[in-house]
Amino acid sequence: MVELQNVAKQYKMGETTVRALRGLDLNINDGDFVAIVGPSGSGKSTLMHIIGALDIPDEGRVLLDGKDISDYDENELADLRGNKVGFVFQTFNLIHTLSSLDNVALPLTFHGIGKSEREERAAELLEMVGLSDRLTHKPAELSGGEQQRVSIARALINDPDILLADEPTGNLDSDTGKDIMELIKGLNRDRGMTIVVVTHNPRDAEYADSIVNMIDGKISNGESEGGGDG
Amino acid sequence: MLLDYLILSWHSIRNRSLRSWLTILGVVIGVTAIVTLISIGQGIQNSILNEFEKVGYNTVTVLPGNFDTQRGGFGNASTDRSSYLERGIIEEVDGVKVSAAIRSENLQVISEGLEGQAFLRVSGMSPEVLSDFDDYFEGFPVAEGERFSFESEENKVVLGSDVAEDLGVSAGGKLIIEGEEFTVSGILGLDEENGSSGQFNFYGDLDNGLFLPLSSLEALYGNKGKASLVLAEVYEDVDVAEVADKIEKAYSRVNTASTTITTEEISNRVNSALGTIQIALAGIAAISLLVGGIGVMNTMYTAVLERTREIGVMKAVGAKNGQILGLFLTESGLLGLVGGAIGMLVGVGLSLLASRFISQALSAPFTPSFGPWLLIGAIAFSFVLGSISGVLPARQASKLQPVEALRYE
Ligand SMILES: Nc1ncnc2c1ncn2[C@@H]1O[C@H](COP(=O)(O)OP(=O)(O)OP(=O)(O)O)[C@@H](O)[C@H]1O
Ligand SMILES: [Mg+2]
Repeated sequence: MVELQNVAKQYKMGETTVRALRGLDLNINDGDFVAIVGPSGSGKSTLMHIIGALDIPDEGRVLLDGKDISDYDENELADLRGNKVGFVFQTFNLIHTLSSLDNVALPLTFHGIGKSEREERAAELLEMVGLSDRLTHKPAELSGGEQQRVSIARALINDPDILLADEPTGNLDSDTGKDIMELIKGLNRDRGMTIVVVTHNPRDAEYADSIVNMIDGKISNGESEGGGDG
Repeated sequence: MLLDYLILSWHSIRNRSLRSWLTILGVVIGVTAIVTLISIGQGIQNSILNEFEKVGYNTVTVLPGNFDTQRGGFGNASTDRSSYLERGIIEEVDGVKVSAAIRSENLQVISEGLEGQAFLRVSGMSPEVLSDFDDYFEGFPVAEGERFSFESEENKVVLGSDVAEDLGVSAGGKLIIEGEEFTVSGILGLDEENGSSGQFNFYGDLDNGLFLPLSSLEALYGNKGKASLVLAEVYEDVDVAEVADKIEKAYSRVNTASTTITTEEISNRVNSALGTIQIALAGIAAISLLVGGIGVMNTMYTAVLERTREIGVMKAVGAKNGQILGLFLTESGLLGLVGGAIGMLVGVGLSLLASRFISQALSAPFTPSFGPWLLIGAIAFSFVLGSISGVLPARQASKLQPVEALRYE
């Protein structure tokens, strides 16, 4: 479902150029659960952004369902993100002025879906992530784990083909992190959702079916089999 | 969609409530200034024009001598005994349909209720004044007693309410004017609301006038056929200004200087004089609105900075550039709209309050004028102002790269 061919991305910082990705190939199939691991600065987030149509590469091709999105314009990319991709961030990135329900429903606003349908679907998802009694809470009134559940519900509301989570447990204690990983694993197992998780935590990586090791903007060893509970 | 934007905007405006209110206050001050200044200016203009329009657009007022017609109280000047208009002249001018004469003299008046004697302004009027030009005297409303009859040979006089009180007479009472006995046939009762003693009244202070048929005055005073003011109504299909010109020429042929006043000319002068003042005031008010708009822009730039991550998130979940633009434009428009609505209400309140003081200062009733265009315009304009002030910040927001925005600390 996602295919990267020789993808490169660099950032210019004044005189110096940072080569965040340097010619990288990656294949993610429908229903895969992939963990991306690697040292800080190795380009994991950059890779995620390109997979999720949040950014475009300087070189190489990105095929989403066989379509090359490398030269899509901003609106086409926004459409892709709105329809096919769900993002989960390390810092949750909830909108602090909005309730859980409104945060989850927000993406549908940009699809022009009416309020009652939005709220109905948002409430269903919040129930699924175990927050049916936190609908009117603002992010500041929720624990870190609860906020991450809200953000997972938000990522799911547009019924995406792929869920991208960049260090989803990075700001959580290990027990809460485990709950979140269980929740994500469940989505893959029960719904067959394609999932890519960036993590520093080897225990999180064990939930994945395959692990991608990144070093210096490249995949070091191709793909290796995930551990444990596969 | 717009409703959703409004709700989202409302959330973030409320979240920054102090700053939002301060920004709104900037707009409020500008809109208040505009609404107040325009409504009061328009009110003054209307009340002046109303007074002159009562006389009618096809009426020419003729005074002896050369007057500076920009001064008020034209009637007062005609007490100058040395200058009269020959009544017969005007009747021969082309285009004049009907004319009327008023002659005012300061005469000796004695009454029982008054110690000694008084010299008061007594105005004689030809019958046409009441039959064709009664608006000149606010309709000449007799509250007590009745009007005099022009046919009667008896000496009858109608008094203004103030002078009646000063002389201590009521309807049916007696007065001695220049040695002749007169019966008070009626007392005027002018509606306060209509501006009886108003600064802008054409005749002057009706409440202090003594009125009688011109024939009675001529019987007292002699010197027939003279008028201290002539009113002429022109035919519908002729040019009033042209007739006024002919009237002045006709009088100058008999070596009488005359000044003609037409309602149109007056209203043009009033409009242009007040219009200029109003434009100047509106300009000053517009500057304060501009400052309000800059406040909105400043707030929106800050909001875009503060909410950079939020913008990144919205883009990550599929918001298009145009939608981000719309969202921020709605927010700045809403700031303007709320400011405009509050400013409009405060402006209306302020000018109603100010109109009390203006009424007192002018000792005439005064109401500010709030045209619907002013009220709706003020709100619509401030919405547009807010939106325009938000264009640059909103564009900046919409152009943010999602990845950059998400990284923003
Ligand atoms: N916008 C940017 N401007 C300049 N350099 C950037 C930018 N984004 C990323 N980089 C650089 O690109 C490299 C890869 O960054 P990236 O965020 O992908 O790393 P990462 O593997 O996600 O690291 P971490 O584990 O710390 O999140 C880093 O050296 C980073 O400094
Ligand atoms: Mg990263």
